[in-house]
Amino acid sequence: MVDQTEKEWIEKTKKGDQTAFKQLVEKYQNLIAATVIGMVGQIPEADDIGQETFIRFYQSLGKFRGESSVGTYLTRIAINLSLNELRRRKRQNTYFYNNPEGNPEDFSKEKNTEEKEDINQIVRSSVQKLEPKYRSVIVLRLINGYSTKETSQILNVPLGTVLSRLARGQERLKKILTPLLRGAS
Amino acid sequence: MRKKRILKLLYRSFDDDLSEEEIRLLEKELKVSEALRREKETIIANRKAIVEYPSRSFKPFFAERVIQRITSMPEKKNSAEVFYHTLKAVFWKTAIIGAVCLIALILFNIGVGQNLPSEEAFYISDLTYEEITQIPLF
Repeated sequence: MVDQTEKEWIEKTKKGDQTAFKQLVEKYQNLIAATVIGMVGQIPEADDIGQETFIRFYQSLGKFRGESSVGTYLTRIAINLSLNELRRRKRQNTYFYNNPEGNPEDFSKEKNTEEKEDINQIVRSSVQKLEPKYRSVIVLRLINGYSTKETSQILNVPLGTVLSRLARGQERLKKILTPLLRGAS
Repeated sequence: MRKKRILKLLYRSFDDDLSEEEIRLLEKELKVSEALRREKETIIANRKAIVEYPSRSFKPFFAERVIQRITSMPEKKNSAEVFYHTLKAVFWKTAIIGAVCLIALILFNIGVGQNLPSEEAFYISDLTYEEITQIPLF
């Protein structure tokens, strides 16, 4: 599952070569950025979660057996840390973009103001409106491009659950996104 | 009910392999239903919008920041070291108190016993238990 170059980087890192680990970070930082920013949004904490993802990987290198790819392993850490951040935010009763999660119906009321934003901004904020369980499958499957099987392995849920969450997530997203995309075009 | 089932099938067709029968059923429905075709187009448009999702990078010098944090982390001690430090933390106070008591006892013995040879202050006398119990306290 782990390619030869990555194996070498990992072995060198274990021996204390941090340049090798830096190469691993550079290879996977965009994948992790897409995961973390997709999950928590473009907020200052996203960078910290990204850093923490790689640090946790660094600390667990001794346990890493290479049964899954480095990308999958890192994505799993990133998703868990992002979900922790979302839980923390929920506990503090603060919501990203000042909107309640998973309430697409309310979102249509903001249509007029949102129409002024560009499509990228609309897509970004629309994904943030989904409940974390739908958001995580959308991020992994559509943004990161993982297969449904890989998504189920990363989230540790059955394949059927991934498929139903994908369908429901897209239905909810459609309610949010379609009128906005029509308005923006 | 049937409409819901077909809609589920449509969503599943994007992420899962459908059976031949399911493919046939979906194609048949797509041919006859304008609404279903519109739904399919909407799903494709929305998925495309998400796939082209922006913001796929952290702030500049991300890798450098990660390495800097790793470098500044305290080095992890091995289990033997951890055990030694735990033991030291638990017993060092007891050891110091014990040593102070011992020194105080020796000094006391030397001080009170005018005729007590200094060597005897450091070891137990030849008195038996019975002899010790018979010594008057006052």
